[in-house]
Amino acid sequence: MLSTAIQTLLALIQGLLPTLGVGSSSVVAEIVSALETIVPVITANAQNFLAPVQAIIATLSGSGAVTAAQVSTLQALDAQCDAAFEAAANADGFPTPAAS
Amino acid sequence: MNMRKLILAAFVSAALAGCTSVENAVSVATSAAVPATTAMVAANSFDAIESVATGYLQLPLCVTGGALTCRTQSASKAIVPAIRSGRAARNAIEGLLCSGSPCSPNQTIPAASYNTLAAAITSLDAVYAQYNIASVTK
Repeated sequence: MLSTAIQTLLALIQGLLPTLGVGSSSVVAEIVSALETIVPVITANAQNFLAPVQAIIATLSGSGAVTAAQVSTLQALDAQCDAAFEAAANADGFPTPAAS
Repeated sequence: MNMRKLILAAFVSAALAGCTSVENAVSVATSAAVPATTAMVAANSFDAIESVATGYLQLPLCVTGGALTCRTQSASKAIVPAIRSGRAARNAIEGLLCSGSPCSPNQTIPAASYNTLAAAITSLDAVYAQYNIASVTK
């Protein structure tokens, strides 16, 4: 069920990207609604996916312009994802490059 | 333990599906610029892919008679640099976002920058395919 939910989510994103910037607000609203439906499943089973999905929803729910708050949220998410990845990579014997 | 394996299997299975979907979605832009919202979604999608890679690296190492869901060192060797390279592309895009204060409406970013991230995502997909990561989840 989890796999199906996430596959559905990503298929929605796939369908959405070509429409971005076109102004199909009703389509975007429908997709955001569908994404929000999937969030509880992700929350219960794969929380690593939750923050990126929430950020995508926030982006798509906006007016069409990227806001400073969205960029700030994205950068905070980056930091979390990067830190988790580097911790896993280091544990597996792939030390973080000094200059990264 | 079985539940944990199930979740990990689903997680890595989603990784392959995710990379494939995102690769298809984040296609090469042919115009000179792309909307900032598109770049935002791509950057967030990369973060999701990075989370998937993290999940893979947290799997136990494959050994004879070991866990059914496991990682190989060769796959890890390919995934780690690909993620780090993609991260650089993502950061470069973010450096172009919302440089004004407040952000200008209908902001765009150069397609070349966007395409670098798209290429990084495609590269990650190739890494997953090359090492047939999906097969370890079945």
